[in-house]
Amino acid sequence: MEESNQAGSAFRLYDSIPHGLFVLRPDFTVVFWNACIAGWTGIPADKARGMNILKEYPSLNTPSVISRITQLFEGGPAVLFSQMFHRHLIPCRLPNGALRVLKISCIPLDYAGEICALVVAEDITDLTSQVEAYRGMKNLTERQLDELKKVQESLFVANRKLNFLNSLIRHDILNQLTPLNISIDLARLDYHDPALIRVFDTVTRSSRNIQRQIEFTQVYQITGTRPAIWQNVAGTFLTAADSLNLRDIRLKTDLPDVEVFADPLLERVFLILLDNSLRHGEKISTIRCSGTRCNDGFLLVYRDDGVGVPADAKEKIFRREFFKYTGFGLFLAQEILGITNITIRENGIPGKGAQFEIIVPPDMYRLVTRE
Amino acid sequence: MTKEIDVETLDAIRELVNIGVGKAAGQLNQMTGSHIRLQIPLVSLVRFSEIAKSESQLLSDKELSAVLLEFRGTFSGITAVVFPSASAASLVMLLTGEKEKSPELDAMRVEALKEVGNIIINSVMGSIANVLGERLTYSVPVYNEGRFLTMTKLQRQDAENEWVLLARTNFLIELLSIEGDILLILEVGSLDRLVESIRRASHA
Repeated sequence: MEESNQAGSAFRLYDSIPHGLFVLRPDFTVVFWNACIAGWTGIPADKARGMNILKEYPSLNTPSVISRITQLFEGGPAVLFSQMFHRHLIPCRLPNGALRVLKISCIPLDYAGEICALVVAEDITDLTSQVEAYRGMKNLTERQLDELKKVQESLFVANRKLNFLNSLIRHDILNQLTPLNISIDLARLDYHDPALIRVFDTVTRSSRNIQRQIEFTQVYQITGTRPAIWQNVAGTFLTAADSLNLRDIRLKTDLPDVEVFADPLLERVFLILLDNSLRHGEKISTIRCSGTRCNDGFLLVYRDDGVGVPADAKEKIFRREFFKYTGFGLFLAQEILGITNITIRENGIPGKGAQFEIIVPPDMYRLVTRE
Repeated sequence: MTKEIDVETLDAIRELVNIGVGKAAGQLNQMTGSHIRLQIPLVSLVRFSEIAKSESQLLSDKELSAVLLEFRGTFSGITAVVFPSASAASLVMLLTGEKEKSPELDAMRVEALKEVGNIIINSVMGSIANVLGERLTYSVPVYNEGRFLTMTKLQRQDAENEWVLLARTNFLIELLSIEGDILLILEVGSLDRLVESIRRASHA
């Protein structure tokens, strides 16, 4: 009794610690049992003192546990028992009846002339639940990602087949147009009636429109066939400019080291803009490309100092049916950018030059920091 | 640079580490029900400052997971068990029987790895202390991640002059072999005292 009182006063400080704590002698009897572990186990401290822990908790009475704690009693280092290998070494229930998940450390402690073990039991039930929930979410995400990949692969296969079919049909239509055009041309040689010539002209115009539209489907078909990738804006713009004869037009870029997530045809977008400046700008001396962060993400500005776009055509130039005047280029540029939700608009001042603003959403651009 | 140490002493050290590792394998098998074999193919002695140039490729890796234990006594230093972080998660999963496609070392698996390291270190240190009849005092083991030199150099002013006893371990579980290192980093002067203890014990 006297010894237990001594132990009680020696370890009283441990009563205020919010972990289960008890002290074991080398014969596995309890010397001290703190208030927390008493609460968790329902065994009061006065009953626990002198109790053999191996008899009370058979889960501890296994060779793998005993041999390791014995090492400690023989002067060895602290012993750790993780929840992954020993989920309920000392079964303690929560108020809802579920078992607490405990992490247990046995630390050597000199007491009354012998090496004892200070056993610390930390309740990590909440942490364990959180980690398990996180793992569940991670596994679910991985499964969904796998499924998405499968769907993506099958879509690519289906797309490839459709493209193949489209190219066959396109080829067949163009093959039909050739004899049609030749027949009309031959007929023009034999028939000179003005009424018939008007009919020939209408047929020829329609035939050329069909041919042009078919050729456009060939270009449009390749957009979105390859997955979007991160591309350096300045590099892509300069590559596009290099492939054109810009004559004596000055090229100025003021771009940070920025990458955008876009269809691999991004270079073609710049080609279209440059070609548009060359064809319709009339008096261009300078083309500028600049960029900066904005509220909507990243703002990329392409500007020339040509005649600009008339106010009533600013929106129309992006429409497919406007191809008669601008070609399908700007419609195609809009479609290529739209694959990754990038938008384009023209807002230059007519007479002072064209200005195309390309807005890249926040998750579709990244500023590059190089080490 | 390798210290001049006679073959018998190095053999004795290898034997001590082997006893400890054998015991650790037994305890791990008993605890997990797995068939783990721990092999010690190499034991060498290198200067701490030259550890990155040692035969252990592992120690020059960037991402390591280590369990470390400080000890003091006749000879003092740190014992560490080190794994590449990428395979540490696989090791824990094999031991716990979990099945996951891309394992990562989350908080629960870190605790399990700490226990694995604790078993190995305790067995090795127990074997050394028991055979040599030395009483050592130990800190509580800690877990660390990162570069080995950074995690061990911390608060060690004379680390450059310390000796490291390096034992390469292979964990052979099922069809997998996971490499780890067991290191005894001995404070200045401790190697001589360890060697002295070994010679004394072998003569006795």
